[in-house]
Amino acid sequence: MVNIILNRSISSSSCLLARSLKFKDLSKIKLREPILPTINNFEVSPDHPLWQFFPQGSNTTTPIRQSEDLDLDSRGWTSAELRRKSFEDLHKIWYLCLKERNILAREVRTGESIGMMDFSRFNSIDIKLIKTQKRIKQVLLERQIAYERSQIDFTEEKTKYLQEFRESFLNCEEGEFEEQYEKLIRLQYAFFGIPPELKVENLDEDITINFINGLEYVSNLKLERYLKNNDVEFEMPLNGPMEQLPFLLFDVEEAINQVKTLREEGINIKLKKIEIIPFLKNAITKHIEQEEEGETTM
Amino acid sequence: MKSRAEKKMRKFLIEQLRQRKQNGARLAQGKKKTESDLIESNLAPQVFLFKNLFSGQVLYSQVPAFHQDQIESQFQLPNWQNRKPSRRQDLWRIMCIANFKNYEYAIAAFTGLLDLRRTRDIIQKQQAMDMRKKNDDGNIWYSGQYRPTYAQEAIADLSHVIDEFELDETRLYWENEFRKGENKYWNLELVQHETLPIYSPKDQSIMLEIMKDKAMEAFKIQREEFDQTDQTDQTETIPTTV
Repeated sequence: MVNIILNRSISSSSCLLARSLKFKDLSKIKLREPILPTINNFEVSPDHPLWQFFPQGSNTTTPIRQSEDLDLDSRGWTSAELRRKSFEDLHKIWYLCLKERNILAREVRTGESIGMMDFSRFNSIDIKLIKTQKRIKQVLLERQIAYERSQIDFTEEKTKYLQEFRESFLNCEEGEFEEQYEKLIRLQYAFFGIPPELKVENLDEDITINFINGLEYVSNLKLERYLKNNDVEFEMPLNGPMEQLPFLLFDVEEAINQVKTLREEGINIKLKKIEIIPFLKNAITKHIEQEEEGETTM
Repeated sequence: MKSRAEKKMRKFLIEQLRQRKQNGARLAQGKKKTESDLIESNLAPQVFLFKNLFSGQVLYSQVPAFHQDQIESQFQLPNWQNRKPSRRQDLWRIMCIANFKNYEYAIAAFTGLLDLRRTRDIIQKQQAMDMRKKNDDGNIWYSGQYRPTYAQEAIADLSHVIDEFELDETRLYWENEFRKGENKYWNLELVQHETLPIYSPKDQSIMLEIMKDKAMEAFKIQREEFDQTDQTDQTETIPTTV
């Protein structure tokens, strides 16, 4: 056994005895040169976000562009051009300017670090970009002001205008009627958001409280005009949207007949407020579908 | 007016506080750790290289933390180009973790690194200075207060130690692989390069702890394998000796 222990201790330490694990004389050590880091040890993905600081992304070959490569002849966006653009377009232009400015700033910083003196070319482009950005801000400000102004309450003017229109519509002669009718259709769209052609997919957005008010105004107007010019017995007023809706969807004559049948059958219940919008949606979609079916069978 | 006893008490308390003040991690406090110290504190055979973000200096440690004692012992001759760094937690970031085959190797590497640091800073000061990149004024190249040469020297020393003592089965975990330089500087039969897992700098201590645990696990497995081979050796040798 002693033999084994001896054997083991010698075998485990023999490898260590062969070499020393300590520097013997520090003054005789040959120091090594500092090891320089190298970028060859890793790969940079071509879509690394920092490549966006370079004009051609990962395909860029020079750290700083020469003056031939710079777009010196171009001009910034004018306010007039920007006013025609949508918010999304302005947003894109803003960020394109910002990105280009970042590239220029990166090039200028690199130039500074290697002792370049003249950055006037870079700065001239930068100034154009800054101007564009300022103009974008100006255009957005104009839009904001216009929006805020549009929020002012026009109810008085509206009611006054509607009253005026009502008189002119009721009192117009037969020759002018067509013109007035077209005006009514435009008016119902502008004032109450009732589109000239109803579509099933837009109904959710179209049918609002304003729509209901418009329905009341338009149906009464049409009915009054009809009753004034024709000798028909009809009991006024219309009892809620259920009776008003036919005047929007059909000719006045047919609408009157429908309302009469409704009254005869006794289905013309006055709807509760909460029921109005679902009822209108249902009824209008049914009507549109029936119309479409009719067209296809024709 | 304070009484004499009060003044005495105050003085005593201030002294107490001063004694109790911790300048860094308790784990890293004190002199160099021996094998038994490391085993007792459940530490793996590792050497941790921390780099200073402000000055570029490098601090070696046997434990996944550092202490003012280490700064005092590793920056012995400070000057305006190689100032004694502060021990601010946010400035020291891990640069490399070296995992060794056994505690003997780890301690040898750590001692070797300290020896080389001493050689560069004190004994062969001029030779070390000659190898450094200079600026136009003839001083060590710097940007702000950052001198990249210190980190490069530390890495050269690490490769020197591994080659000199032939520390085989060493695994180096780099924070950023670009620091290890070209492969020609490393004896790839001895060293294996890997990268550290990516952690937020805020959670550096957690990452170091995880790396330590992993190294402990690997070391345990290695030791069990070694014991098994040893036992088989014994069974083979017994009949011949009895």
